[in-house]
Amino acid sequence: MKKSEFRGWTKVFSFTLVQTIKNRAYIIFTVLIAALSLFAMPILQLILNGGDDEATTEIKKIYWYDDSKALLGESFSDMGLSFSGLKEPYASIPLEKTDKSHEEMQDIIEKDEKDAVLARLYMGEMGLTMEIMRSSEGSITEGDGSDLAAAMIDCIMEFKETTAGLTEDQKKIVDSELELWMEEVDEENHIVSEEDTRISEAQYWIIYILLFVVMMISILASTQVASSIVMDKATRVVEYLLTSVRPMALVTGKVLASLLASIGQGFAMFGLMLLSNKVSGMLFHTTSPLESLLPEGIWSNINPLNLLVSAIVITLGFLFYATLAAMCGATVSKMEDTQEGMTLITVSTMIGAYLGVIAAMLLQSTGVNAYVIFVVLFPLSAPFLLPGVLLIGSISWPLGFGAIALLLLVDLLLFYFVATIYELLITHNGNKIKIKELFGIYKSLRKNPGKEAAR
Amino acid sequence: MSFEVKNLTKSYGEKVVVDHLSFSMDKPGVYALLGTNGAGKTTSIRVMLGMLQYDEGEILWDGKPMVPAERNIGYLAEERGLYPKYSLLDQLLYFAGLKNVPKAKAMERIHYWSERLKLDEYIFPPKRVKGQKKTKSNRADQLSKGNQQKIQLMAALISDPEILVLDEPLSGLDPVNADLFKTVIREEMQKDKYIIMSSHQMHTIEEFCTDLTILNRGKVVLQGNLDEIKKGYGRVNLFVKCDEDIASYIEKAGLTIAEKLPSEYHLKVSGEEQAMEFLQMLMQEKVTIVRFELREPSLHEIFVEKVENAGGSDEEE
Repeated sequence: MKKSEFRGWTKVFSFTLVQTIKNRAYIIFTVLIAALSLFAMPILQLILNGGDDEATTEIKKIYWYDDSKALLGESFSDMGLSFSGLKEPYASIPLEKTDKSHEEMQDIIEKDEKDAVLARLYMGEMGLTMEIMRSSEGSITEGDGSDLAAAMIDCIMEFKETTAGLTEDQKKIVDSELELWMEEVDEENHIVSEEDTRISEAQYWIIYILLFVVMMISILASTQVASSIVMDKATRVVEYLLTSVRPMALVTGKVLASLLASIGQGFAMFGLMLLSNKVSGMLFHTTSPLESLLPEGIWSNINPLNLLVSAIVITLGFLFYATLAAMCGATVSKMEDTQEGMTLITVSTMIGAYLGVIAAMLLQSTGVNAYVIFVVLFPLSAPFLLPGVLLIGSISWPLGFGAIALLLLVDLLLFYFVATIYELLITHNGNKIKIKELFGIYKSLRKNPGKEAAR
Repeated sequence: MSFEVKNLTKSYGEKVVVDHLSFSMDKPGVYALLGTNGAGKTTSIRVMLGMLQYDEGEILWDGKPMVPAERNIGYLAEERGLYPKYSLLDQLLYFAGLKNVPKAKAMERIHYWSERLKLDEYIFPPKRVKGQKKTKSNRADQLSKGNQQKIQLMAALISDPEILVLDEPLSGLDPVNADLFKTVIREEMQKDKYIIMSSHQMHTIEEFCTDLTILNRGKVVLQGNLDEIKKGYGRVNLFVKCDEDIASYIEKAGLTIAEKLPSEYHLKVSGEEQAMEFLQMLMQEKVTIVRFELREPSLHEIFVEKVENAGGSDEEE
């Protein structure tokens, strides 16, 4: 491929970028996602805490009945459980221990005290159970009751650990998640164990979010590239353009402009979302929604090198799908056939993304295995999974660099393939060219490349 | 300077679309490429412009292989196209930029041509004044077909090209706009441009072209200077219109009737001598002659004859 093949790509790039940004559909879509991003966090905050600085409750009185004696021989209240550490808003509500029967309490709550609840601890079929009884006609909601139950269970757990004489550090150990670890022993009694390559929930979310972002931008960019090329063909402008620039300059300018426009949308969306997150936290005087939702330590493994390598992989992935889109766009000649032409891209993106999601789930449950390695290396899924796993460092560098090298090679091969057939595709005017026909065209052009007017 | 095409051959698979096409322009002028639909004219033009690869041959400018991207070539395509939703000014500036015309120069030319082709109000629509009705749109999809063709012509001329390729320049134009296009083409001829024109409208070709090639199914069926080609055929077409029917005189003179028009005959004669003998006969018989014209065959007639002799046209390309 000669340098002259790309002459004039910058002019195509700047025109395509400006026209894309000026396009009404692009502006409307960008404004919509910007507005969504901007208002997403305050809305999330409202959902998370009901829109108030402090959680509220309709419960005015808590009756507490301890029936745990049947299980333990001595009830929790006998041992000193008083719910003194009950969190707000329940801490300030009168709490009264009752010895009245279940039926008597039911009568009181249903008839006289509709804003009171009965919290009963008893031995159920599945073990110790906390039951909340509320009036069906009162203002206390099911969620309110559940929150109270959760707060009371927290108190019971705290009481159990304190009663057992655990220190704060010991409590942390006791509260930590239990992990499974298997070891194998060989004939010489040596422990043969593999490195634990499983990822945490926080790391899973990083992979998942990045996969989603890359997929979204990839679809946006691919659609724009294909539409732009189909428009050139459908309007016959391509005839005029080809007197000044070569097809490769045309496709390069369009691919890069569409990528930049889509990445711009993506960055705007996430920038505004982060801003919205910050503002939302400040506005409600509480932790920001993302801090509340995302697991702790989510950014702990990320460093500049990981970020750089991930950015390279994301770029390679975008180029892969955008080049594919350019080829698909050139196979059709009418705007109404664009969707049909995009089928290959849509299906490939979906397959790649789903393979990536399954691999991320497997990474969390079992660690790196043959499937994960396949997905990391497979060109359709690598652009989606690889950025995340490289960012958190959950695969080895040799495997990571191998995957990048493979993706780069596939990008170059695809570009070469598209470059070979593109001239014929872009001047084709008629029915959609099928994928298998593209290979036929490629073979025939390789066999008989033809001459070009001097460059 | 000279423009030369030597043995140009282009195939799609097994089908030869252009078969050893050769022609040259040693000086500025208008060269015509004629042919039926599917004869290979547009493909030849696309190859010359560097849009398509070709199998054999050479395309030379001043004796050296031509680099289309390095030559200043203006092109008015047969299948005209503009971006329907983009501003006309943006598009024209883009096309000019691709031809390496500086923006200031491009603006100057856009102003000149928009005034010349009466497109000012579309390319530079006046700004909308509050309370007034919407002004004219500056988008291509709001233009009439004729005005869209004018914009296309502007795009072809915006770089002030040394080579101008016009593929069916007048098709679909109304008589007023066709005359405007003809005037512009004549002006470009006077500026010593090398113009290659393809058209189905034979009278247009006769109006502008000195040399031509007729293609049929990719093959050259006739080539050369138009005047010389016509001279080669001789003056064998006699058009006679009289006040009375002259069928009996035609029969007596042994002439062949090529076509009988209402009150007019198109006759085939062997030459000037036979025509003069027939004229004398009519005068002796005191027949009132309204028209008596002896002329060479028209380009249209030559074209039809050549294509038919070559086995008819091929509509598929």
